[in-house]
Amino acid sequence: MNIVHVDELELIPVGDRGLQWRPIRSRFGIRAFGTNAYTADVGDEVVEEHTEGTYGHEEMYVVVRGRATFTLDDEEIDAPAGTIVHLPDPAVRRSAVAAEPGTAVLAVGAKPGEPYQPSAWELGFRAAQMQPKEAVAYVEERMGEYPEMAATHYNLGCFRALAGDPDGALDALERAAEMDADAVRRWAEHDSDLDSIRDDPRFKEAAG
Amino acid sequence: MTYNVVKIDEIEPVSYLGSNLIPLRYTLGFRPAGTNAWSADAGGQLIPPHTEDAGSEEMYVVVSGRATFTVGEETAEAPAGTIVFVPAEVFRTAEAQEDGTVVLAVGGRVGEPFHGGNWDTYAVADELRRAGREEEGREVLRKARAERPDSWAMAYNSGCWETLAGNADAAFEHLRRARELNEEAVRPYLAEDTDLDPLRDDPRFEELVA
Repeated sequence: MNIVHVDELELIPVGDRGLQWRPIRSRFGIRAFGTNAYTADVGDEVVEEHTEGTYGHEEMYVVVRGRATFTLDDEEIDAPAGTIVHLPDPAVRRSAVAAEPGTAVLAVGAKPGEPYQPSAWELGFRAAQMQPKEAVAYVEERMGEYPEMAATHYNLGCFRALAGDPDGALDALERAAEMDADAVRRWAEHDSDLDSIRDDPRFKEAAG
Repeated sequence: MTYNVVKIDEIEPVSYLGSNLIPLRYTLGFRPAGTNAWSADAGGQLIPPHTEDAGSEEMYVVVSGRATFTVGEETAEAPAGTIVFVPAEVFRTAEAQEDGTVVLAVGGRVGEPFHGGNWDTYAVADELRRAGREEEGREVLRKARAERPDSWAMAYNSGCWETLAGNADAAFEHLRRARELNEEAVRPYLAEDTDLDPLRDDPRFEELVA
């Protein structure tokens, strides 16, 4: 039987606010919808602050254990276990912080009206835990399994820059900029991962 | 409204195939996947025994209490926080081991967009009919048909519902529409569905299956 307890799921730290990603979709190879769990200690992030602008996903968060404080745009929502927060609008800025020990939140999402495709952020979240060279190899090997997105090329550019491959980094950034120049400029502005290539004329062209 | 916040135990459950369905998808209007919850007290049936078609994937999450899952030939204990993934064409059911056990179910088809639920909308409408709230139940189905005018299943279910409500005229109208939309899919149901027994002696039924 494909069965697992949320505490037995792989734990991948994300960002610097204590978020613990617990991959479910990739664990079971689910291809029909997006789903993951997140856990956090009190005061830590249990839903990363984001919008679904990039993916256009409609989302549902289910507080499975503990208690979370959601912030949806400017509104705070107290969400004890058993609460469902449903966000049909991808533009709503969403985040949540754990208010009790052991808080666990399940997320379900997909773009309405379209066949589900795995989200490429899965790659970036995993690779961010690796050494740069390992991250480059990991992303290069797996990126074909996900729809092509500017963010994936951008992340690859960051990992290559950190791994000491400026030309490769610039290639990836240029590809990202072809797909979404505005986003690349925004991401790159304060991204210290790219400091080693910031003075290159190609960087200024693609992301300056 | 740009978002909805609900507590699972505040949603009124409806009876469905011997289980208590908490109609989450219907209540929220959630569009990405079939998403519902099931509740039961100790010893009660949570997930109706069933097998999903080829291409369907389903995940169950124990939100509170404790359940026993049977998947294929295997049985497993599942305390709150347990996640069970069941691929297509595999038998599954679950029973509650504690009072107030709640299991969330999420399902969809690989490579296909999700198109609202027929069965869960029908379950809500049928509960209203059985509770004597016929007009409300009819309105639930009317809205669902307006959202998906090309759905043979929604038309067919409306036909069953009107049959059970004792309205043969309306039932025939929906069943004819269902047949127009997808004759191949509707035929086996017309032949075997006991919901339609009250219509079988009506001359219009012969016309319908002709």
